Amino acid sequence: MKRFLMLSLLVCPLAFAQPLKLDSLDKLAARASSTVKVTLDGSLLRLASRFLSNDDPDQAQVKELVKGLKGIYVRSFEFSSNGQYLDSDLDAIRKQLQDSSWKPIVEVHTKSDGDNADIYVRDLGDHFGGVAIVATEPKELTVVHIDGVIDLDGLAKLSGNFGIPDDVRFKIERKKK
Amino acid sequence: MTDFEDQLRRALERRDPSPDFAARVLAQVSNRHKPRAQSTWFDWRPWTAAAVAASLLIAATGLDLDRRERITREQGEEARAQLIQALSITSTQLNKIHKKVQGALR
Repeated sequence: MKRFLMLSLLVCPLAFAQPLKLDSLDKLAARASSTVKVTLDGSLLRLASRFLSNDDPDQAQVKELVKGLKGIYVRSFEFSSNGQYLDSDLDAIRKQLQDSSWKPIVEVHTKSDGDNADIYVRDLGDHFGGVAIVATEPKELTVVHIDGVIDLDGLAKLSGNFGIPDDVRFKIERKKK
Repeated sequence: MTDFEDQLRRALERRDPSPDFAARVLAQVSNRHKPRAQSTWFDWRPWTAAAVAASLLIAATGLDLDRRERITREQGEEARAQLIQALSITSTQLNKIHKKVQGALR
């Protein structure tokens, strides 16, 4: 019984891992010149995949990739001038990413142009349970959370249509090792 | 008194009804309230009403299904557009990061 309880305590946080809460960023929409807000939970993803054509190879690839996902959440803001957002606007997101299940695998920080980007993966032991990207530029802020089992091979397959470079996957894997 | 007046008086003079008058009136009244005998001829009215009701139900169900299908299609198209947009933004960001990583590795 004790073993079962211990196992439950270990497994539950992973099994019920919640998607990142991105709502704290929504206030930036008022200051942004362009805003993209995508909130696709499991049911909407399944609905979207029903409308992807099997005949189109690119769409068929996306359909295959989406199968293992539980949600895709994106907040992207473009600003007309610098200083429209503060680094502290991302504190709530970064705090969530400090959870032990999230592992930073790529961190790019350039002082010269003020561009910063971090890629995190949710490590569920034997597989990735999600990817989060936090990218900031002086006039742009983007946060992406892809929730679910990520097939990196599938992600790489999207390169033809969506411009995802093949070798990003290998760099990510190399950095993780 | 003329002969005509005499005839008129006789015609209008009070006469008692026959002893079975009340019984005959009551019998007539009760006959009127009796339900009409079922026609042996085919009664089309309930069938017509049922057919109209069924047609309306089928039409309403069809319209509702059509409306639901239209809404689902619109939601699906919207979700697909959002999915493509999300993956496009993700790939753009990955490309930018990739270029920066490549630049740093050189």
